[in-house]
Amino acid sequence: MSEDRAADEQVDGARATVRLSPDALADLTKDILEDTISNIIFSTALESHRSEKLLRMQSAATQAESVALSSLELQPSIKSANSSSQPSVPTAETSAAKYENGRVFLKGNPLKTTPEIICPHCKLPRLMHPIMGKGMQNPDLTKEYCMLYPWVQRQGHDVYGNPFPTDMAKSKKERELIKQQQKNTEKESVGTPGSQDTDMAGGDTQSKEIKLNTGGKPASYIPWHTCPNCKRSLLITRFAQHLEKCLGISGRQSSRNAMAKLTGNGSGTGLGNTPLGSRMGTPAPGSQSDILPKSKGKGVSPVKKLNDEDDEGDNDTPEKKKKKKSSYVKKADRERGGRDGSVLKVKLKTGAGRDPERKASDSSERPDKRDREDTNDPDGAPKQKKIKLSLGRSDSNGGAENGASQERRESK
Amino acid sequence: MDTASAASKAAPLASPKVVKNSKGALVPSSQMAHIAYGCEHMREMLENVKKATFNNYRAILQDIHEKPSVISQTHKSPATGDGRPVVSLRPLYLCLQCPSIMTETDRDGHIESKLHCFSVESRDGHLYCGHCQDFIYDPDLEVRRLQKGKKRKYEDTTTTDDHKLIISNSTFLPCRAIGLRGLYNMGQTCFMSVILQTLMHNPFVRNFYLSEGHRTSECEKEACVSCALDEMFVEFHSSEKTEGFGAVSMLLGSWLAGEALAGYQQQDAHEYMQFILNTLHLQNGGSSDSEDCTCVVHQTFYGKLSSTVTCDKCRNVTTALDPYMDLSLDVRNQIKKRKLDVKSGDEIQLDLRDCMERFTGREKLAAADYTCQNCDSGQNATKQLSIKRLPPVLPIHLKRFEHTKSTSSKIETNVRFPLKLDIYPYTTAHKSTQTKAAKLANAPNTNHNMNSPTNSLIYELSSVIVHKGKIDSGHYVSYSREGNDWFLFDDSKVVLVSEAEVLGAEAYLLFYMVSGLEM
Repeated sequence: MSEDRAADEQVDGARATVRLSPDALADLTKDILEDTISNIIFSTALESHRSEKLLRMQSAATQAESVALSSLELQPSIKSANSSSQPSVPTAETSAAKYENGRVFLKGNPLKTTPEIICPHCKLPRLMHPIMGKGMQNPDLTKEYCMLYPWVQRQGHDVYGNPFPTDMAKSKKERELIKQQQKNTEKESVGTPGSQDTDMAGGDTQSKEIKLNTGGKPASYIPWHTCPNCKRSLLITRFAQHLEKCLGISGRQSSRNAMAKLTGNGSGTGLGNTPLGSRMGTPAPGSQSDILPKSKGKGVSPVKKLNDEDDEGDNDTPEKKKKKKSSYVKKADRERGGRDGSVLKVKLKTGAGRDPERKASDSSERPDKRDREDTNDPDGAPKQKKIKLSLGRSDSNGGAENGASQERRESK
Repeated sequence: MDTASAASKAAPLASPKVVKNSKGALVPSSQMAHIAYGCEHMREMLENVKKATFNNYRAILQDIHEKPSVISQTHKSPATGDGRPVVSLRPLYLCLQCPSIMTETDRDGHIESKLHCFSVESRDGHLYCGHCQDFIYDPDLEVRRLQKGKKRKYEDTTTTDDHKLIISNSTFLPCRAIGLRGLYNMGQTCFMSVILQTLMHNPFVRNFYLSEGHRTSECEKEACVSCALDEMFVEFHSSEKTEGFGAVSMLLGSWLAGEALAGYQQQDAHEYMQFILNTLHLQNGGSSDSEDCTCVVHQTFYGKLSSTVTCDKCRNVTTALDPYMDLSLDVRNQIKKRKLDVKSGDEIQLDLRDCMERFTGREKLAAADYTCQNCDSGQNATKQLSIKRLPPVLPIHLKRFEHTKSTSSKIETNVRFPLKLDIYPYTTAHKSTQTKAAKLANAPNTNHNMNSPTNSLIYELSSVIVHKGKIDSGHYVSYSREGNDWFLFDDSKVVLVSEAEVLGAEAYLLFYMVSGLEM
């Protein structure tokens, strides 16, 4: 629109002085079109020039800063020996920049001086090409990279390079069958990991090479989650179905729960014949989400609270949410729990590589499998694992950088 | 600038807290190396004549963005010698040190002859350094460029002490945790996932939660939806995990708060959006008066529609203002009848702008439907809707599901939608000038500036929610933009997609976000 306006004025100017030749309109159209297209290209090119140059500028600065700070770290001994009056001003100079007391002065054009992009946060180089799929290049695995990899574009894989979950919709039996089959084939060909996608670049775990980490799970992975209401552990894909029954929205339990609500009695079972007239202190149905005070175990319904009382207080994670130990422990779990000394209820699996093998009995197999995946020690300390469970929040806030990186290595 | 001084003063703080990454390299806590100048030459310039340079740059930016574009697009070319002014469509260069306006080739001559090293490109105000022979991006000058030469309306209130406090008490989050995670389908919960994903990628909502807008530790509500959303933001932005997330507490919270939506069955994403916005409004201390509610939901999504009814007889106009959180547009194909005559072989495509036009178009009311208070009788009247107030994020709902008494059906018409939508034509401001201006035959009101034309309000597409399949057995997926990349969120899967794929999708809900905010 605006282009046209400018063009009109140009035309007006031309008309005033010279008579137009018949070809003028064609020429003019061509000129305008060319200029406009060239402008689009110019803007696009400048936009990517800007984003790239800003990255390189920051990289040059980050490198200079790192040099300055590492030299600073070497100094304290000398400094304390000389005088403690003035802390030395950190300075450093690289071929691309000069660092002086918190400010960085660039030298030359960073597009020429700084070929690598360094993450300003973790100070590690960024990978420049996707690790698989469209435009992939095998990176130099002797170096460690910033975890923000270029996005992967590959059929059947997400942006991180994890394969899509495959058997979400399958029933438990079907999944177990597949597991069994995988296990059998793995037995036949020992040593070849089940899924090559997730760790294509770093096939052998034993080597000192740094492995690329897509961070995800094998395709067959479906997480388990503890129901906040009844503390049962169940597949996430079945959650809505379960919760519906558990909350008594519909299904077998709903009429009983409804009746329990009416009677104002917490137990929720077996009181169907209480006369309706005897209700006392009835909470208005439907408003309970607003009026209930926040109880210790989040989301514990009044119906179930009684049953849960006995496990309050053991297994205390500082966070109030989730990962509460359940009173509902399957028999197999209980046995196993006795042996291990603790009951692991949270099915957080790490280890992107191996396809987990599962025995037919799911429940007894779970803790076992975790151990095998995470460490090579079959009786790996489950206590240590617990740290991981609380990672999401405490690490990021608490600044336990070392812990985080440890976790990273562990999960490879 | 504020940031510059803060960083330099805070620098000695870097030494006490030295952290190493796994490789042994040093990781200073939450501090990014601060670049002082765009290049060596700009350093020299700013160290000598800082104020004059800033003033000149600001003046040039104002010329570019406020005066008629023909001014900054006209050069007198000394090359040809006659010195006649020539208008160019291509970018020109405005010298930072003198009033010359030059073409690209003249610019290089000017640098050599006059030793005026810096010039400003005339379309976006980018700065070119003649010594570097490249565009440079100086931190201080970039701030001015992005403000389009205007002064900040609101002062940045963070002080040096605040910066120190932040630097010494914070660490960087894992580099990978930038909020791109899928949500596991917990059994027919994709209607919820798509709405949650668009909220997660809404910068206004995200900033609210990431700046501790809702403190879970202080919240006393049972199964609070806002706490559940907070939990998701924390998880998405602080964990290195890349697999999906099970939004269990969100599901529980939603079901307990909204009985109509509870239960293991498919739901309408639009209904869920209305529900969750209302719930979040209540749980974030929203007031009952939507007019001046300061909750994040109203600050982000609340707008007002003006509805005017003009009596055909006495021309009496009544105006009513209605609040809205989304615009529901009709996609029934009314154009079909007209276009069938044209006999075009192509499938008739409806454009979002047609729908908006129709939505804000004049509508005849029959005498039976309207009683004029002035005439005190039923009169034929004309009704018109227009947008009185726009929210920063405008959700648009395309009414694809048709419900009659007996049946429900889905309209699968392809509706095209643009990446950038000019909303000005649908506003009350525009509609009112239209009627009056037409009468007075006024010249169109324009400032002849291509960078900031007066009559435009540009909104950019930020998210799209798509319903696939039949009305009773379908699946929802969503697209959201992060930076310049578009991502598809299909339950637990996150996939990088092209703009073309997004624009070709059968949209059900569209989210347009204001393209720029003045600070």
